[in-house]
Amino acid sequence: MIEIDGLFKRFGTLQAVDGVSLHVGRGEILGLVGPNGAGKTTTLRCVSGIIPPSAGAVRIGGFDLHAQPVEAKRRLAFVPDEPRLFDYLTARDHLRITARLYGVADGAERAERLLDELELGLRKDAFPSELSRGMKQKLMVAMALLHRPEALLLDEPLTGLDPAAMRRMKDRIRNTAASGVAVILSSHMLHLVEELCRRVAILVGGRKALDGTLDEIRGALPAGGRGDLEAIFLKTIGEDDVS
Amino acid sequence: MIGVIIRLQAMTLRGRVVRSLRLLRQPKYLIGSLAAAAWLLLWVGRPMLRSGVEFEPPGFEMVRDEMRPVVQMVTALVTSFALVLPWLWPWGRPGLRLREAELTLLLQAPLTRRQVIGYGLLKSAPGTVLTALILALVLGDGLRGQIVLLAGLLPLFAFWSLHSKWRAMLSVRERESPAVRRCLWLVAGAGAVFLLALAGAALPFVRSIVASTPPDFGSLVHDLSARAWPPLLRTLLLPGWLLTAAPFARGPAETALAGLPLVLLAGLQLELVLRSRARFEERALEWARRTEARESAPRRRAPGGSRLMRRWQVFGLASAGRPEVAVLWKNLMRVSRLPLLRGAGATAALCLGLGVIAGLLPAHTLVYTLLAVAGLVTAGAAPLFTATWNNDLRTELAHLELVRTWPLPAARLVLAEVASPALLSFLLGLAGLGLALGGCLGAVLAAARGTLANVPLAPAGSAMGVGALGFPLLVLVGAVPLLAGASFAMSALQNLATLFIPAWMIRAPDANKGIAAFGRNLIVAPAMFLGFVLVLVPGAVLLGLALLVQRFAGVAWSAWEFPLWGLLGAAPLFATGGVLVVLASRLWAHLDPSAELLEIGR
Repeated sequence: MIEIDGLFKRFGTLQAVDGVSLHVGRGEILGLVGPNGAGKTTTLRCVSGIIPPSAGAVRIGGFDLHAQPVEAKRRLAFVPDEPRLFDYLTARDHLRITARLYGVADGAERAERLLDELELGLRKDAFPSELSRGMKQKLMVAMALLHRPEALLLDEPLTGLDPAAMRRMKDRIRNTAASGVAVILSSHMLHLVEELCRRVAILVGGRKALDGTLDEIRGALPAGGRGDLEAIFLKTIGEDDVS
Repeated sequence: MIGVIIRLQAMTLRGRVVRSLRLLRQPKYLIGSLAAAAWLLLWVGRPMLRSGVEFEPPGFEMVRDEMRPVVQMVTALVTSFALVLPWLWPWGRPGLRLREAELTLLLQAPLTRRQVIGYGLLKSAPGTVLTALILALVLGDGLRGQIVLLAGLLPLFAFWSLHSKWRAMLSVRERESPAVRRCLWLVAGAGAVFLLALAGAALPFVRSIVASTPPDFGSLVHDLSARAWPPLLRTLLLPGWLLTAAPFARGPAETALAGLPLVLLAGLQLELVLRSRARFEERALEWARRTEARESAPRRRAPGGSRLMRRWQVFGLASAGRPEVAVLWKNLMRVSRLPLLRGAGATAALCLGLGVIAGLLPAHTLVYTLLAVAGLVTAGAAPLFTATWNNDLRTELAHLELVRTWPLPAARLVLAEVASPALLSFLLGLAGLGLALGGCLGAVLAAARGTLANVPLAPAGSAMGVGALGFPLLVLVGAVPLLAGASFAMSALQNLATLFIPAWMIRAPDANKGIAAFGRNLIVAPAMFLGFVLVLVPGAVLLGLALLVQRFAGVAWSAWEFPLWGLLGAAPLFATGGVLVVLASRLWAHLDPSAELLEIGR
């Protein structure tokens, strides 16, 4: 569903993404982890069409993002790490415009349902400035799910959520994937990635250092990896002696 | 510690300037900056540096010295009112104007109260210095004169600024202390008496000046200089005169002497503010939040509006239909949630009502003329208003992570973005035309009722083969396509420029502050105006040619041709706008916002 082949992104002299290739199938959740500046957000921005890659190809549901951007984007949803909503639109307005942009036939009913499910039912007519960080995050998720995307890109989706909301969001991500959606989840919360993702890709310095299931990654480490994702991650980035 | 915070401010400023300078590595920004610098140097800088009198009207230099005492008296009068009025009505100012981030940092830092207030005062100092500097550059005569004038203006502005801070701190303190409140009431009473006396003394003098109505500017100055000012007025103006003496002084020594009391008074006020016991923190925080909310969402309905208003929509947006309409809907909602049809109906009724009322009341010809002229000026300026709605790609760039993921072909998205301000400008222009028509209708009604002898446009109408009301009606019909075309072309130009030089055009809270933004606007605003004039040229040429051809063919112009002329003039505007939209679509499709907007890899 999501095919990234040889993705490069250069900013002046900085090679932010260096030949990353990733494939995510229907119903699969891929965890994208890496230290700060590893190129995770840049990769997601390239895959969602926000910035053009310097080289490489991205296909969503078989549609090339460069050649058929509208078809590709119609199947895609992106939740950025910072929820930048329109200050002058209410929560309901945000879903209204999303429904029209993506041509969701049952947009109004689905919007109401999503707002209720994400505990925003009582804040439908609130402006973003009246919502907490977590509520804004939920609204972004509601907008992303409204048009039933086939590919979902999540950049730090649990930031700002309380523990109960985190639990519900995790269930929602799991259920969304179970319904056949390909998900890429980028996060520094390694326990979350370990809990939700069947496969993990570790980016270091713009390059894909490791990619596979946790067991495959453990096996790929030079001295044989042990322990959880955090231990593997630290070993991969060369910080395994950090106590 | 305060030194560290000031250093932080300086570093922030330096960061902004460096960020702007880095843009110059791209040829388009470098060329734009060089062109703007040349323009500023040629038209503003050179005359300003050579002599401050370059801007003055012909013959002004002869009366300049003669005018000095008169101008100083008038300045003293204005200063007296400006200084006393805040004591009568403080306008709910915050004690200190600080940002929320600054307050959070300052209030938890190990600083004394005096240091925090000192920082707040210091923050407004650059503005004071810059204003004095600009005025000195513009008004000073030569470099020496400019320096002397700056030396005179600085203590005056410092005094003024500190006075306003002192008053603001007192209005905070007033809420906490009944004794201070009583004192302020007394001061306000004294101030009111003073202003009444001043007004009482000034009014007969002003009346006598108006009655003499000198025929030209020179005579007015001679008259004002020769006239004896009433002793009471001179006495009442003495404090204001002393306060404003420094900028009017001749030579450095006189300036220093006149500025000394001001410096002492400013020092006294500084100490009063620094020692103030007012709990300014809450008011400052309240002001900071209000300001930041206003800056982040200009023109939107303030949160807290009624539930009904929050549910208003400019028009109903169904889930099915052309997706680009959603972009238009969203952009219109940024300006107002008022339903479009309801707004249009109310405006039409208002224009019509104004005309009918003016027609039924015994009004002067000037009323109808004013209505018509105001309406026509509004309609003529409406296309330029596309720059003020802030509801197109300029604001969209702050939401790139949302907008760039929308499944819309570039051309349709750009067209919707262009249409948003264009539609609002078009509607504003229509309202203007409606007002003008209202004025004409009023005149026709008044003439029919016999309260007006001549309808102003009747001769022009009859010369072109139509009646007094038919003429403005046909003008209106002819102006509609021109208005639509000009608004569309102007908006298209603006959006194309946004995609070409996004870092200079973006409208976002953090991007529109500081000296860098000021400089950027100095470049962008005249360039956009020039672009707009150029966009108008093809339509004007085509229309002019058609009129000339008709004239040479010996066919008389008729008012019935106005709609056709309108279409003829509008066609090139729409064509130019269309080309600009196509170009902008290509830029949008290939836009890489990484460095200029998302600020990565810099």
